[in-house]
Amino acid sequence: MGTIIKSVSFQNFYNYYGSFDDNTYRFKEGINIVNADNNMGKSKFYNGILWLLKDTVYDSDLKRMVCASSSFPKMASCKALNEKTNFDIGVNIVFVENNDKYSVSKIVQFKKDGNSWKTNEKLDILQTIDNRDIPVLDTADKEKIIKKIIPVELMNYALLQGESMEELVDLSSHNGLSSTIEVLAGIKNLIEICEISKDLSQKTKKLSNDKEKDINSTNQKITSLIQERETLEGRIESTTTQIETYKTELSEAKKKKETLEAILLNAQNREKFRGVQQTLQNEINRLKEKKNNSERNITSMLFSENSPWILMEFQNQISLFDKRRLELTAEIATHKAIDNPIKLPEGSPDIPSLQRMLRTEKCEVCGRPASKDSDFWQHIKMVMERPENKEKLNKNDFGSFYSGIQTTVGSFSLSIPKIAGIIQQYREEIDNIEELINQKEEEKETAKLEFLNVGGSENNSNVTDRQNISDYTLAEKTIDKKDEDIRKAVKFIKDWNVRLKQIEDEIKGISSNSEIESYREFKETMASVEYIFHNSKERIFNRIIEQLNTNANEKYVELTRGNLSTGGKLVFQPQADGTVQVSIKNINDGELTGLGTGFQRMKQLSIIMAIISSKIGNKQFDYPFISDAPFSEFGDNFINNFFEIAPNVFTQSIIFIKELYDPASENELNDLGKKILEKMKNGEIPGTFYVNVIAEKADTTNLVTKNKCYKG
Amino acid sequence: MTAEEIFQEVIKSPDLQSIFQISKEDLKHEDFNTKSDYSVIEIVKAIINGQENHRGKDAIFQTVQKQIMKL
Repeated sequence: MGTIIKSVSFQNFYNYYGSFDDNTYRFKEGINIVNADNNMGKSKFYNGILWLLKDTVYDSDLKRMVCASSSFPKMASCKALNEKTNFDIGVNIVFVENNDKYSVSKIVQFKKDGNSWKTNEKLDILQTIDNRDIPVLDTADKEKIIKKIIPVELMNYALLQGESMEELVDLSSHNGLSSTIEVLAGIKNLIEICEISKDLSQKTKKLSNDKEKDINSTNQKITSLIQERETLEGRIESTTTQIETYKTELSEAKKKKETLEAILLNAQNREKFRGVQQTLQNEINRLKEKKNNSERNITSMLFSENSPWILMEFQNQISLFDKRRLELTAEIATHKAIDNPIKLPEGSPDIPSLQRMLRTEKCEVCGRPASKDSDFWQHIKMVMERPENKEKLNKNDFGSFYSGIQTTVGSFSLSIPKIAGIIQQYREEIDNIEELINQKEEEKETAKLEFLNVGGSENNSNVTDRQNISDYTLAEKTIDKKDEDIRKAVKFIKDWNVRLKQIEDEIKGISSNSEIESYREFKETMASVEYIFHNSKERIFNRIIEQLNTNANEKYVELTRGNLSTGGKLVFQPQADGTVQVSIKNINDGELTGLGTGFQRMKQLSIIMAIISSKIGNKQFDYPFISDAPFSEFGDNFINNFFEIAPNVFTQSIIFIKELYDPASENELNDLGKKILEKMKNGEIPGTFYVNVIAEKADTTNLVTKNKCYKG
Repeated sequence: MTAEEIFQEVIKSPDLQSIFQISKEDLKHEDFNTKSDYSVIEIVKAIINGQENHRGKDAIFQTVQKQIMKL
């Protein structure tokens, strides 16, 4: 039976206005839920516990932990500050630990002093013995009692704040998982024993060496060998220390590399998608330019010398024109006939013939003579001199005009029918460019999405990614260098040990008696004892890691059960410097990246549950698990899974959540909340269920939170 | 871990067999509260007890030295 919190009460603490009795939550073993909407006291409740256990509170304005004493005015109920001049604020926790009952109250007295407040903090602890409350007065005893609620070493695992959960389990520092394992397994005494045996081994070695030196002080050879031995032992000691430093540096570099590996993969992908986006943008720009040029060319194509688009569909107009021209010519001829009454029949002599007839005074048509100035001769002359200037003029103007058009248009007669096809083709080309632009825009959008999926953002510069790539290369180089340093140092120690053995044998060969032999045996025995204790500790430590590995994966599977995507498996790896790394691997043992926040928190929660549920030796995690907003990134499936397995892991948990809250519902619970309450009422889930409500609607200065107990 | 648990863990150490030639059978019969025939096991107990009783390193060393010299 470990520690069980029986109740938590507040007095004028943030919006918990009123006395302790007005603001009491009674808890049990199992899951204790405090369901509340935003600003209804979840984090304030959590702050009350932090204040009592750690003397810190989370300042939501500063968004960081602060020393509680610097935040007293914020911790006081605004309503109390407005209404009173003298009041107390406080948190009280009543708990039992192995049948001993304690009541711990942290109180700050507020007294108005002009425009400011005087404050005075005090800690009252009562221990119930034989139904009597006995005040604990000694400060050291008070501290010990507070640590009974949750030991300092386990606070990281027992006090969880959802938003900081990803960084909660410090897997790299000596104060992280490895020290937690030491606490959980209760091997702190074994570690101390290892240190004692190491010290005894060194003492024995010195004693033996001194004895040898003392007995053989006159033997120069032995003295020289002893001196060499001391030098070598000194070197081995300093090099061993150096190896420890190398191991720490190696472990840090490996951790850095591992951290960067996931980032790097994303950084490389970001670089890739950044490049893809740029290439596509260049392509889009080129296509747009091509499209603009094509559109600009339409004007010149309209009046193209070879095939002017403006003549499209004009092929009929050419024949029409020809027809019109012929009609016009005929019409003109008709007009001429009207203007000139002398109409010569076809085959009539032309002007030169008529001139010749006048000259020869003979008609060549009928063959009769036509003497000069005779009527016949005069008739021929009249025919020759018939008016023909006007006719000639008209005939010449039309001929030149129409033949010009005829020639120009005639050259297009073959290309005009093709214009429509050319325009259609041109249009299709522009449409194709347009389509290509759209396609490239879509590809660019996809690349942008991929870029965002690997952690890119509008503000994400490639400088950080390049820095990460550079840091990764540096970490790899450091790992190689430290591996080499360790290898060399180990080789030196090995060689020195070989020489030490030779020296020991030489000394033994020269000087040997029963007294010195017993000291040598003592030295060797103690060196072996040190080795055995050290190995025993390592064995236990590795066993615990294996156990944690199994337990954590069991919990991880249970917590992520029902999810469509697999979350990989957790792998615990002891490092050269004694720390433990936990990573998530895929089925091929490769690093699993790109998991959402929900999965990352599940990983942390699984490790915590594994630590808590690993009953290492006879030790068990029997402390309350208190968590503010643990489900803020979890879906209903995760939440359901948690409620199913949590009672098997935590003896008692106190959870502050809003995921079960529905302000529109009659009892402020959503469907999941109602389901869980039902399970609690019928005993499927052990525990209590509280819902925080606002006493009356008010602004933050007068906000008062009250609780409704649905399952006590 | 209790002193007895630590002792049991150390007894399981294969090094006791390989370095000190103590048989598996003998190790099986070793008990934290019963005197052992093997000096190394008595030293192990002395160190565990010394730590449990918060004795100083020098005092533990004296005890171990006396034991090993006597044995």
